[in-house]
Amino acid sequence: MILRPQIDDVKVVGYYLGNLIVGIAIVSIIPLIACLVSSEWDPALDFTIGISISFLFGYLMLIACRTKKEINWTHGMIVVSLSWVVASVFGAIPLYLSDHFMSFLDAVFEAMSGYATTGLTLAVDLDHMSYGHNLWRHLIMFIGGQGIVVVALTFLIKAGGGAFKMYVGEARDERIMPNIIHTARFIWLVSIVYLVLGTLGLGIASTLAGMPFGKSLFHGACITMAAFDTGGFAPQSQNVLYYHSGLYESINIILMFFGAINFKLHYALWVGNKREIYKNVETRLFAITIVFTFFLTAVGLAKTGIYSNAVVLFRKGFYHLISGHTGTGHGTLYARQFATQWNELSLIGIVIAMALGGAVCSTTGAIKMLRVALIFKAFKQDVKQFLSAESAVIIQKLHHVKDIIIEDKQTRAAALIMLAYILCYFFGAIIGVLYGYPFLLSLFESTSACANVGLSCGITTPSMPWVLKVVYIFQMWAGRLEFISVFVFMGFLISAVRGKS
Amino acid sequence: MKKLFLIFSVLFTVYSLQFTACFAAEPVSSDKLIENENFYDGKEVVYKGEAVGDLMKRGDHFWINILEGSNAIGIWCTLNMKNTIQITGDYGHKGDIMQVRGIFHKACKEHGGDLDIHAMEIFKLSPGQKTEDIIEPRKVIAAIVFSVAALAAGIFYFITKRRPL
Amino acid sequence: MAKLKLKYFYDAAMGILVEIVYALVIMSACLIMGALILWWLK
Repeated sequence: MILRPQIDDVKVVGYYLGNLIVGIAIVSIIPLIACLVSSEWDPALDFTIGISISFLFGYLMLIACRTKKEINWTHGMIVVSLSWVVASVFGAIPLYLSDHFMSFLDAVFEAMSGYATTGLTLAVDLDHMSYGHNLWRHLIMFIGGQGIVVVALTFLIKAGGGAFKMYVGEARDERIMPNIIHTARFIWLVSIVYLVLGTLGLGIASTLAGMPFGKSLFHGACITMAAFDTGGFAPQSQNVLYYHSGLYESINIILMFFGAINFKLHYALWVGNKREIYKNVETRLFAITIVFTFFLTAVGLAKTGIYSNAVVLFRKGFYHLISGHTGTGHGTLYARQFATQWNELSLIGIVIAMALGGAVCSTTGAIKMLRVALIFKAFKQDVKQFLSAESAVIIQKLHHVKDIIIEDKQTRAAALIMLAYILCYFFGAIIGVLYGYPFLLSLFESTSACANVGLSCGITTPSMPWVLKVVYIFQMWAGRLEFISVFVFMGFLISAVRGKS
Repeated sequence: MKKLFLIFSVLFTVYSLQFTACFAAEPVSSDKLIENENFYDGKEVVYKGEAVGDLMKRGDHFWINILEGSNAIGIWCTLNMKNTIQITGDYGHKGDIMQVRGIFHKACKEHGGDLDIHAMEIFKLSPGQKTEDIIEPRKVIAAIVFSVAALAAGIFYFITKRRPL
Repeated sequence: MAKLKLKYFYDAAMGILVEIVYALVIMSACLIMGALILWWLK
């Protein structure tokens, strides 16, 4: 029996959202500073307007939503699911004012794509975008990858019951450290370390490739934020093709791997448990699925004959496969080339890779490795049960930092989420087909949106139907949050109308 | 005499063709090149657009990305062509409009499969310029109004925060 | 205390190195597999 929400429930949610909006306003000061430093006056105004609107709304909500009621699981889930929508709407304000987006919907799409670390872009004339606006696009990815709630936990909210409930709502249920605040801070530490390493690595690579050093560092920081957070935005319209550099792409790939690794695994490795890299079920499965999906793509590409030597096959075939599998979405091909040059088999390899994703509790999207491993092992357990004596008890284990015995409860949860993702991939594909796009390409784009990848085969453009834009925004949002908190929010709305008071 | 005149006319026509070749061939748009890459692969094309981003030196060659419509294409040039490009496009600048004649590759073997054009000839059609950072008065008004409102809301919040519910 | 901090730093650096090696191993394996596939399907 679901109770109708009371006004205090709305206030609890509103209070936390108010805090979030204020948080976004504070973070937007970073690109404002970048504008002022680069003498970009019009963009500076755009950010001033965005920041002040955010502060205004945030404080108004904090004033209106003061309540004594404590946050519970339902509230936590709703706060998280709405946070992404709210953050996207407010984050879109400076983007829309930049005149690089054809409509406010396009700007919201871009912001959601950033926060959900997808990487599908509707930006127009990216090559003439200001440093400030471009930095904001990439910063949104950096924050989104960590998780908006994790940001809030690190800086704004004190520890308490609410903190953990929101953390789980944001699809992070790995307990890395006993204290949730410490976990959030560790996630940030890892991100900052890789940001520094990536910026330097890519900065040096592009300086060697002929770019001026200062600009190399700016690009390096942006691409690192997008690669480690497996987002996929880039400062120029050609994405990573702009650099025309194999070394750059190789460092880019390594950053993608960093991003696809579970934060719990980063912790284990960083405290000296080196063996975990080959004992962990996720790293093992990830290696297997990469090789398997690349096999499909490579055979497909070899049959087309477009990439005639091993290096080219690697730089175009493997690069996009790993970009898809890790959910990054960086590319060195023009979107339409997937449609005109790649054949069905090569596209199928990439779609499967995108659909699977990287590790849980990483910056990746999609079904994720631990779930796939769990389901596979549970299936194995069932088969063994049939092959053994009726009275035999088959215990199936998997190793994830420690040995875990597989239980029905976890398997059920994993299987349901996997099903939700697969249904979502097909839902978006069907909408695409309804608008006249071919099925495999629609499936590619839909999977890219729902799995928060960002590779595009040409469907995502400013001129695409607005319904499809809304559908992809929904998919990016639901996919990032692994559906549960999104459905809890919808249930909340329904119970507001139909619930018992 | 007639024979001499005929030979001279032929030679003059052949000689002048090398200049008209630049203007006779129509530049192909980036969309058309990408969409029909099989047709254009390995062929000589003429492409024109705005030089954007950075001129990236690699040994005795350099890369420059040229934007036309909604796509930029990488042009691989020899170093002696470097002085034709002075201004490249970014936020504060509209870049030089360049016209390039070269061989198009849909997946260049030399460059890791990149779609590119190896330039045989490149020249500037029109020079680039600094773009004005126009500040709209209504944006300034909006910024002031919202900032004041936000400040007021913030002050009100901090005052009422301490009061009991 | 300083020695302990140095150990933390060393462990973290080794951890990052292990991750890089993991990535490079997979990249190399796929590069070789790609070459074999091209050769096999020529």
